[in-house]
Amino acid sequence: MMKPFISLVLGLSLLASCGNDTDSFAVARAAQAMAKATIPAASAPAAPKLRRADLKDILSPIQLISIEQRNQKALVAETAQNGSVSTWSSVDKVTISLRNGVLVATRGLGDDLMAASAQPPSLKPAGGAAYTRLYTILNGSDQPVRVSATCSTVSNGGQTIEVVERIYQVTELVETCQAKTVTFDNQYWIDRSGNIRKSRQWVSPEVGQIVIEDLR
Amino acid sequence: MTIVPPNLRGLCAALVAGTTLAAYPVVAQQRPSLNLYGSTGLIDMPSGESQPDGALTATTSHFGPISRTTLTFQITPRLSGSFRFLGIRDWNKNIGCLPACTGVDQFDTYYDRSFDLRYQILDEGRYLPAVSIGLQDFVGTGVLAGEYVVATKSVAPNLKVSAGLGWGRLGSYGSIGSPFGTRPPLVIGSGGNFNFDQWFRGPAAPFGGVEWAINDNWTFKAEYSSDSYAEESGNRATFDRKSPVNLGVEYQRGDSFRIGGYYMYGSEVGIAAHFLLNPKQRTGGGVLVQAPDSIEPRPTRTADPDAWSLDWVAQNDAGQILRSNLVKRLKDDGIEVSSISYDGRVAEVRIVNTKIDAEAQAIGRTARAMARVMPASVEQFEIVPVVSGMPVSKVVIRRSDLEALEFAVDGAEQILARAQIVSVGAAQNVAAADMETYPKLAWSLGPYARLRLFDQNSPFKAGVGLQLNGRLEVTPGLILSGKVTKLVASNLDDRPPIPGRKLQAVRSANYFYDKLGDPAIETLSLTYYRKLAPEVYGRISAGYLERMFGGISTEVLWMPTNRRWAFGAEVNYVAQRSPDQQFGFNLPQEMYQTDAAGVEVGPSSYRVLTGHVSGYYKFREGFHAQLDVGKYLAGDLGATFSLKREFENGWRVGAFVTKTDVSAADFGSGSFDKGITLEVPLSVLFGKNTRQVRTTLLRPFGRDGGQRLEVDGRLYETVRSYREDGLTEQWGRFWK
Repeated sequence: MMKPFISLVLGLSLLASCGNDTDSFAVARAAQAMAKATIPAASAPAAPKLRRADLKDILSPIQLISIEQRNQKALVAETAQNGSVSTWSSVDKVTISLRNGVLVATRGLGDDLMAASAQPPSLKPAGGAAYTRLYTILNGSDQPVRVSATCSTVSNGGQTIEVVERIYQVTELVETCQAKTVTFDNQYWIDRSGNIRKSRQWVSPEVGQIVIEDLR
Repeated sequence: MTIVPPNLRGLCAALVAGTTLAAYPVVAQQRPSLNLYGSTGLIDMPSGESQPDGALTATTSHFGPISRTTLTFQITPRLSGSFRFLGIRDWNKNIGCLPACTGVDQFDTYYDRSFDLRYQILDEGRYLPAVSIGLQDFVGTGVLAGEYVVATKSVAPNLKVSAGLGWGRLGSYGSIGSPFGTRPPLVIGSGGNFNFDQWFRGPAAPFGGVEWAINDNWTFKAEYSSDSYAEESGNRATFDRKSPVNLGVEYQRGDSFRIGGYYMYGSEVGIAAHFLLNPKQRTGGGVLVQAPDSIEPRPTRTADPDAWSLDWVAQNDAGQILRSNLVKRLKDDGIEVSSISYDGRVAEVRIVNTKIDAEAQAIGRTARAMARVMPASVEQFEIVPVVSGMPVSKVVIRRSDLEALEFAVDGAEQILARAQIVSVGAAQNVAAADMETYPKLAWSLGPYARLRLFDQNSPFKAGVGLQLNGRLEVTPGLILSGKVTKLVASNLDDRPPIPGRKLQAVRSANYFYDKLGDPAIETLSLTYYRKLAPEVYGRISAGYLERMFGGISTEVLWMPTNRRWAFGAEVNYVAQRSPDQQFGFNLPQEMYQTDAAGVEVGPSSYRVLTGHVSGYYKFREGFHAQLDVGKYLAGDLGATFSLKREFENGWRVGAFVTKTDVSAADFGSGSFDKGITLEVPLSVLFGKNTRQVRTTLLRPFGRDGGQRLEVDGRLYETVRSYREDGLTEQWGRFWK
């Protein structure tokens, strides 16, 4: 992954005279410049820490994703919206798709989350009542396998978190999910206006959890 | 250790009860391990369990003078098959025939091949053990022949006990009598006979043992063997069998490697290495590919009436623009856009997938690109994969389904249920086609290896060198291709024993092709493919078609896309190439040399009309059968049956047999042609998109009867992965 970046530009070029492609060219270019500046190579041992000043020229929404198991990071910009799902792409074409901030798909990570049902995290979780979330993952034969997880969410109360030099007062929600073959947690840090400032969400058995930080 | 002979009557009762008890919950179990024969078992004895469905294992084991290398495949959850290569050193050392040993005694090391089949008749339950029945070396020379029924039960989470009853060599020590009568002597003939009347006859003897998992990695094994090694230890004194007890320790590393050290028969040290592979699993999880284009839903007609206007249909350069936009989006995926055609509501895009192993993913990526590129009025997407200029199927997808199902939890199943896959003919009303990229040249220079296995002097001969491959697609479907090889290091020049022959040396002179063909023009031919009708394909190839034959090959195939069957016919007129594999067809007398008495001679040129009719059927359960009936290269008439287990991700493990009107005696060793094929998709090994597949063919005896022309690019394998079943077997990748 995250190896020499292949320009998103190719993928986002505009249709010359017919059709209605509205990909935002500028965002892609900014994200690319940003990624090059801040994340030289995923495997490099000491990637420079992302600073707020690096983001000042970017006007469009940007998030930072970190793949814990692989010690890799990438900036992602919003590239598509389909209904309530927004898709965010890095310049080397790793994407995450979020429905109300809940991860419902990834691409470009190998053992991707193909699709997932989502419960929007609520600031007032229903006292740990159980509900079902479905995750679709491909097995080694490329057959979709549905992981049916029984989840419940509890609030860990107020906390202070830092997202790239900015401090937020947030409520931490922990969603604990249990399926036949796997148990995992999703965490959401939500500010007073109900925005998810940061989250840590499960992708698949191979990829594990990714951390998503909102840099808006 | 106490060995309890199993109660036969109890076993039979268990056998009958097997089907209903199979569903019982199983006690926490250790993984089933392999024995020195490469079968599921203890040390030298089998056990009652099976490997996981589809598992492919390779075992190499050595103790004293005996070496065995075995490939075992779990064909179904209950049935497994093994192919083994055996070597026994000091074979003629102690029998007083040296230096003038003849016949089977002429070899210092005796080599033989053997096949096993075993079937698990009972799964382990709460009280009942796992029970398997097996035929070891059941066809051919029968040096290892033995049959068994064996039961294995986990008595504690880390302790398994096995007990069984063996016949043949597994009934040769500590016999309790002959429950099913005497064992008739083996009639070997030319080998390759099924030794039906021997099975489960003669003395039977009990065997058994324990397997104790010390922890997750280490296992201790102890067994009591019912094999007396009468020939190896008794008659030929290749080693001293002092005791029936074998002991061993094994170490498991990860899921794929196991190694063991043993103390065998009270006198010898043994080692074994096992390589375990499950074709259903991908190394490192899913295929790592760049994210696809997201689906961008169209604005509603009321929100943006302009976007829905049909004016673009009349625009002159619309086709060129749309095609070039698709090309840009699909380039990184290795998808070429060969043509597009459209009216205001329907757009058809024909693609060539050069890279993605899962055909469904190529369809999905094309659909996503179309959703980005096509004007809003286009509601129906028609995607046609094209191979060697031949369109195979048409996948029809509604754009609104793509928009609605992109993030559905069961999006793959739903989009498939709503898509249509139909047969397709030539493109109509093409608005823009791929012209600039023809002629297309692809070439590669890379490493090359040639193996020659299983000769009686040394079973493994190999050469390594370089190969130059070239493929020039002059126009879609007209392909000039060639392959030149040059060996750098090789021991293929070592002459193997060459038995006498009764047929034209169509294959058995392979030693001379190995020796004289360096460098070799392995192939150089021109092939023309054409779709003759929506369900009929055609091919003509001419030139140096394979390393031993050149000429002309023609083929037609009837393959409806929505069916699981296909029929084909092939007619070839070919001449045998000179062993130097240059341009000539002269056959030097040298290549007819054999070890038979007198000088063998043969014609200085050989031409033959050969051809087959073929039927193909893909079963739903992942098995594929093929039957070819016709005339083979040596002019013999007969049929080939091949059966493959095909995994969705592209792994294929198969076996074939050919029987022709050549008698077993005229055929020579092995009696008839047979072999094993293994196809490994590189995408599964490396987790990257590539359509490359490595094919290995293991043929225990390379003789002249039942040999087919090995022309590249036969129609069925060229097109069938884009038939409906091929397109849909990895449909989970549609959205990837």
